[in-house]
Amino acid sequence: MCPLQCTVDTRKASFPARCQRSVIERDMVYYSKAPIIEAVIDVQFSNALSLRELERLRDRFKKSYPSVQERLQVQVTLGADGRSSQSTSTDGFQLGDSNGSDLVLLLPQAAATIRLPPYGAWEKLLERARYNFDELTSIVGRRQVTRIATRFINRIDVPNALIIGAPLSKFFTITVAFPQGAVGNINGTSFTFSAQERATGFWANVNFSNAAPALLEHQSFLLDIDVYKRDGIDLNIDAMWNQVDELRVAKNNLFEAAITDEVRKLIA
Amino acid sequence: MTALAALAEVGLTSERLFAPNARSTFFRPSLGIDLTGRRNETAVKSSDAISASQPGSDAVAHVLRGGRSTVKRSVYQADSLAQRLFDARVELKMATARYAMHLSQEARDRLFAEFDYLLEEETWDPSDRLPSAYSYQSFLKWLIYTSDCSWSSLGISDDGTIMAAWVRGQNRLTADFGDKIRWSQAVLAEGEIQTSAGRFSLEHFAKRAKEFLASVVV
Repeated sequence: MCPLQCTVDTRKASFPARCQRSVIERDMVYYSKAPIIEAVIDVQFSNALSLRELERLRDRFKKSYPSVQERLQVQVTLGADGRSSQSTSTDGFQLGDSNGSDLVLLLPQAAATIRLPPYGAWEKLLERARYNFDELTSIVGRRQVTRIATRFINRIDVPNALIIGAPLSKFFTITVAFPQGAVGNINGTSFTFSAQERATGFWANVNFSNAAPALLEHQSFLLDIDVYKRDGIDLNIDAMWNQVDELRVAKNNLFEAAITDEVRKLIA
Repeated sequence: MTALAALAEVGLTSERLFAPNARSTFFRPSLGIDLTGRRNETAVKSSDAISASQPGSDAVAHVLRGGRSTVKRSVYQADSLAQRLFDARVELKMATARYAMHLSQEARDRLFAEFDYLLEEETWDPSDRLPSAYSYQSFLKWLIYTSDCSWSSLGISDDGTIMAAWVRGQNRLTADFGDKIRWSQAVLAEGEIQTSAGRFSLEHFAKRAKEFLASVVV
């Protein structure tokens, strides 16, 4: 069983006091077929890292993440007369472990810890993100954090047998619908909205779209939830990571609010 | 240098720009976070706009009209053969991961072990093409649709497509997961080996899977 999108009521008793949540949580929910295709914790900071600093970080992280890929920024300037010039510079590094499941993205103003499926547990992801941030700080010094975020991309695969002829609202609460008196097929849907999650007060960017079917005789939908905090990020590191931990509650609440029991049955 | 020539030089051909299903994993803003694009919007559009590869993208249209603009693109580099093979293994494992919710741990472990074996530097000919993630995805779709993990071995064709084989005694079924599935079958019947071959769509090959596999496993 993979814990997914879960909140942690039952865990509070044994959790360190500093990590206990003060926000409203739903009951813990576990899904054995976790639809998460990408889980990210991202920390952005104000002072950009230099190339030398990025390289030092790469060298440190590649012990744990041996798959190193350099991101090059290729800039092509095109003039009205058709002439062009181009320049190339290193924009950062993406490092991955040997299974390609755990990644670190190092950019001049951000460090992201990424987990691909199978998603294990939030606590593990949080622990890795914190460890990575501590490593970063130990090498390049403390940066002023300007944004903390967690982004979960879920792909929900719905069998054709269930969805053909059914309204999307049977599966999702955020959806598109035909005007009254019209029927048809929804061939391509993608929309993004920003919203404040009521229980926690955190803001989120949410994208809902249908994607190329990942499976035969299925339709695939992406529910991409990016919960973030810009203002009031605690300067105390422990407190800041508590804030990151709390972002998860908003993410879980939004996910649960966006799906219906039909989807829950599919991923249970 | 013309606008299109300049784009081509950095690998952005018009086909690529307008390919609706560009499969360049690392361009996808959803891998990790699209931080690069959002923060580096110094010019007309970010790398995200280009990587989106959508016809009608403002940045693309602007570039192709020849207006003064700047295109930014993030690319990744790999150098040695060992590194390229390692990256190929990782890419296949990442592709597997995207189906993890539909595959058992045992099934994933078996696939991982097979690719670790196939993509060893000692046995890999540097002139061979690395495996196609797209082809591998087709194989995974087939695997999940049929719920059949009884394959005997996997291989990589000269074109980089994934091949699977089911072998039981003298019976054999092979399938090459290209744009179409090229299959061949050899079964012992009527006292001799009967052979057949064909070229099916993935969907059709999946629907006929039980029939094919039953003939091999008899």
